[in-house]
Order: sequence, then C-alpha cells, then structure tokens
Amino acid sequence: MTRPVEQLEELTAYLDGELDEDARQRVDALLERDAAARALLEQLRQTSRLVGALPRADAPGDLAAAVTARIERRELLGNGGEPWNATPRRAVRWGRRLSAAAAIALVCTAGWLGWQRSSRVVVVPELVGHTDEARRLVAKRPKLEDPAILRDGDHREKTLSRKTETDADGLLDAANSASAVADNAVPCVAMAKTANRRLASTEQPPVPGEAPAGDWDEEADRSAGIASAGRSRGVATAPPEAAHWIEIVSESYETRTAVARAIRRYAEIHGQAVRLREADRVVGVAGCVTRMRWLKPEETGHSETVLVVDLPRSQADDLLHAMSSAASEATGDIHVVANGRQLASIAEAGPWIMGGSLPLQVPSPEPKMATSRAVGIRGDRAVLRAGRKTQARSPMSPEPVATSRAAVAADTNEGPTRISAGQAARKLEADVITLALVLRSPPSTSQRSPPPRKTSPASRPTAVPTSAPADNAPAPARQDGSRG
Amino acid sequence: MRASGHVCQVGDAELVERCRRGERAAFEPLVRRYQDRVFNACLRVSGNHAEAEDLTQEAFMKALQAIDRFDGRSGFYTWLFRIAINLTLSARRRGARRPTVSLDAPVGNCGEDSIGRRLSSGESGPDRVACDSETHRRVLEALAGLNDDYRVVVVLRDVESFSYDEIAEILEVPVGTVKSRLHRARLALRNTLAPILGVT
Repeated sequence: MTRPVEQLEELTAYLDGELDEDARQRVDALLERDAAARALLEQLRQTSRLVGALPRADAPGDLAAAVTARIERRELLGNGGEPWNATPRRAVRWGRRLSAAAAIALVCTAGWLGWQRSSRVVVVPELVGHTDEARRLVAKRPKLEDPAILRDGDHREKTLSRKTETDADGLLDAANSASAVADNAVPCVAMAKTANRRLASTEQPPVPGEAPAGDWDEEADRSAGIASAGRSRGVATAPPEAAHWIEIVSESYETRTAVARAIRRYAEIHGQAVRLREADRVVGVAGCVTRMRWLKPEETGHSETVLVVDLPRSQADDLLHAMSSAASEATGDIHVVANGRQLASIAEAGPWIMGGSLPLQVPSPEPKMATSRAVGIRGDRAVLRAGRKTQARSPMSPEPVATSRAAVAADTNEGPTRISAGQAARKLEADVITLALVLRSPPSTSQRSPPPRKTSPASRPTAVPTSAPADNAPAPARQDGSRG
Repeated sequence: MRASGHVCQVGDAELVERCRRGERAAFEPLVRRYQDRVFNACLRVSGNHAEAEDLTQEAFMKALQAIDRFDGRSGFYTWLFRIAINLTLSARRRGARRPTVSLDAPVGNCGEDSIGRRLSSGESGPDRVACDSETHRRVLEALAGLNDDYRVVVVLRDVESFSYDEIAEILEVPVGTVKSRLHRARLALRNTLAPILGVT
C-alpha cells in the first residue's frame, strides 16, 4: 500500500539534501513518475524559500556590552551569589542562603511598614497633573479592571477579578472580593477592617488646588490629607493588594521601549503576570504591573517621561535597577523626588523606599546617573513616615524585626500557613508602594521649554508639591547621555 | 563558517577554554561572533523583538555561567543554540499562559528590498508573488501559527541552515523526529501560504 504523497517525509529530506544515496534514488524515481510528488516538492521548496527569505534581524549593537554589564551587575549584587565562573554547587548554596536572608529581611521590613501604616494613597506625579489634559487622563487611571494577584499564606496565587476605584467604596468592594476568593489564611474581616480604615482616612473632601504644607507628619497627613490633596491632582486610592499598574509617559519611543524592556526583565526575574497596555490595548508583557500609558508632548505640554509604578515593596530595588538601566539607555537623566525630598540619584530612593531596614542593593550609580536630580516621587503616608524615621534609625533597627516576627514565620514556612487577621492585613498593606519617576528627555524638540529651576532643592517639606517637581529641581548635570 | 562576520580569528574552543580559566574577556568575541544568529533565531521563534533581545542576553549569560559544564562533544555554537532555544521555548510556554503581543517590535521589520532580492534570486521563486512586506507579514503570521515544536525546526533549518543532525542535537530529539516535524511544519506553512504559493 502506498502512502499519500504528503506523508512522504523523504520529500522534505530530499529537498534539504539530507537523504542517503539509496533514499535519494528512490525519491528521484518517485518524482519521475508522480506529478503530484513533483508539485508537492516544488511547493515545499517555495515554502522553505519564503521562510528563508525573511530578513535577518541583527542583534542590538550593544548586546555584548549589555551581557557584560548584566554579568557584572549580578556579581555586584550577588544575584546567584557567586561570580560567573564559580562552581555551580557553591553558587546554588550561597544563592539560597542569600535568598533566604533577603526574604527574611524583606518580610521584616514589609511587616514593620505595614504595621505602621493606616492608609495608602497613590499620588500622581505633578508633572502629569499640571495640565488639564493630563488631569483628564489621570482621572481615568484608577479605573482599572485588571486582575490582581493575591498571595495567600501558602504562596498560591489567587487571581481576583475586581475593579479599583478612586473612592473608599472601591476599597470595600475590593476587600470583599478578595476575601471571597481568598482561603481562610486571609480572613475577610482583616481586609474589611483595612478598607474601613482607608474609608475613614479618605472621607475628607478634596480641596482642589490646595496642598498641605509643612514637614511630613502623620497628624498633618491625617488632617490635611494626602488623599484629599492628592485627589485634587487626580489621586488614585487603590487597595495595595491590587494596585499594580504602571504608567509611562513619553514621546520617546526608545524611552518607552527601554523602560518596557526593563520591566519585562524585572518581571521575568520575579515570574509575575503582567500586561502592559497602550491606552486600552494590551500591547506587551511586563512585570508586576498591569497598565502602561504614555502621552505625547502635545497632550501634556511637557516633554518628560513620567513613570509611575506600583509594585510590591519587596521588589522595589530590583525595579529601581531596571529603571536605572532603562533610563541610562534611553533618555539619560532620571530624577527622583521622595516625598518632596529631592534625592541625588535614583539609588538614593532605594533605602528610602525600603524604609531603611534593608541594606541598599542598588550599587553605586554610574557617573551619569549620579548627576541625576530629583523631580518627583511620592508614596503613601506609611512610606513617608517610614522614610522620615529612616533618618533617625539604624538601618537594621531591631524593632521592625520584632514586630513582624510572626509574619516572617508565616512567610518562610513552605507548607500551608495560617496567620492572624492582623498579620494578614499588615502584610497586604505593606505589600505595595508607589514610585514615580520622571525621566527627562534631551531637550531636542522645539516645542518644549526648559522648566524653571530653583537653587536649593535638597529638601522640600511641602507635603504635596503644588507645582511640577521638575520646576523645582536643579538642572540635570548631564543632558547628553541618551541615544534617543 | 557561521560566524557573523567577526574578525576574531581565535577558534571557539580556545575562547571557551580561556573562559573556563576565568578570563571573562574571552567571552566577548564569542558573543560578538554569534549574537546575530542567536538573536535572529530567538526572534523568529518568539516573534517578539524585545523578548528576543532579552533571551539572547540571557542565553549568553547562562552559557557563560555554565561554561564549565560544556563538554565539547558538540560545538560551542550548537550548545549555545540549545541554551537559547530552550530559553525561548520556556518563555513561550510561560507566555502561553499569559498571551502577549510585542510591545516594541519594530514596524517595517520585513525589509522589503531584502525579500524581493532574495526571492527573485531563486531559480524557481514564486515570481507571481509581490515581494513586499505583505509577503513577509504573511510568512511571519504563518510561522506564528505553528506550534512551537514545528516552528523551531523550521527556523533552525530554513532560517539558520542547521543540518538535521545539528537540529537534533540542539533540540535533543532523534533525527527522525526532526525530519518528521520539519515535513509537517512545511506542509502546514504551505497550506497557510497557499495564496502566495499559488496552491489551489
């Protein structure tokens, strides 16, 4: 019985010259007598030629340098724990030790910060909020419908389909939704209490255009309200367990893609499900963020790249790394303001974000990064408070460790774990931070005008800056470090 | 030689040996030598420009980190491709759970002139086909429509011109499997590209 000609794999091998002599002769004979075989052979040849005619894409020119840089960075950071040529077993052993130590330290920090926090406000960077168009766009931002990921006590991922609202009702909805799907390890009452606390903290009506002044102070925050002040700027108040979104505003394709690549890389490391969106269209994949938005200069009236990130606190420094790289690759300068306190470089944001309870894992910034100036980073009240205390405390103060010991125990167990409602709430509250960075593009287009500058940006006590942070920051020392 | 036009005359084996001795600088010529081909293969398998870039970097990093385990039975190039392809397929599997599209794949990636030249240079090329970016787009779509196992063998064979033996070594499957997958993959492509090929 003869096989249909299409099942003759020898034709493909014949085409590729991969048959031995006997087989080749058999196919020759077949082709001589069978028109269908000849036709199929020709179709296969053309198919192969079409694929082979696809244009070759060369690797990015700096790939070798990028590989070298990544290797060096891993060595510096101890990712994997050992130099590239270390013996694998030793590398694994040390990697595990370092990972375990880092995990414990991170959870300690998170627990401590969460314990101190009573509310959370995501603040839109003023650079976005200072134009009407940007305000309109920002106002849309909280209406996320992306699934959030909640980790329960035994580290399983729970995907929650729920929406994030700007008001406290949204928090309650989110809490109820979360508790509906979470297992008993995360009691719903804990989240409900959390939401209620946030509801109370956000009930004050916003005062458009007004921003509380003075030093960062918990009482001042409560009375004047980061929430209300921020809301007037398009603040999004989002449940921390869900508010993983990122917004990239840039007219620079290179910036967008570089940052997106960085986030993807970051996501790859952490294995998190992420979607990036261009407006409402899913356009890519990235880390622990679910939204990406960029604006053209004509939409915002400014040329800066604004990057707003909500991310798990424990991963902040990794993303800082990624964004540092992206910024250096794309537009060069990156500017950071933490709670009105202008930072010398992005690296300085590391300990600030981490509440000072972790050693900074961001290596010394490259010279061009060291010349960066601060423009805008805002976090929630708990972060701000932690940041303030950081200045007065030893980085490894024993108090955070003590207050979160139970959470650490819960988090380091491999099997299913039950933790108390309070612990669960604290873990959730402490899980997310907000980070806003402004990447300044080189002043190359005619439509942008240089922002006004002030001379003493070292500290800025205003709770919510009333003008674009860029307007109050020193001029970047470097403007030519980008290739875009 | 498959080297991508690099001027370094030192052989792979010597560079690998120097890397093993801790001379990291010896790895750079290897990267430069093979980066384009690895990147191109990753791109054609993954279909995502940025992901391919990351995968290429990761492949070289893993190769360097594991260079002590390179036994030299196969060529460094084949071994490197095995790493790259495995990484790419792993990424694809993860991506299958989180479907994505490329964020920053360059527009106009097709290189219209190139395909025109290459197709017209073929003795029996499909002359009736308009050799433009539309053709490339269709070919890429057809490739993307293949399952990963099929797409990989097509890319390794038709794009990277590996022999069946080399493909079998890279994918760690028997040569017969390579032959079978390639045949089925080309049949599937032919069916998808039937309008271009003039198949009725």
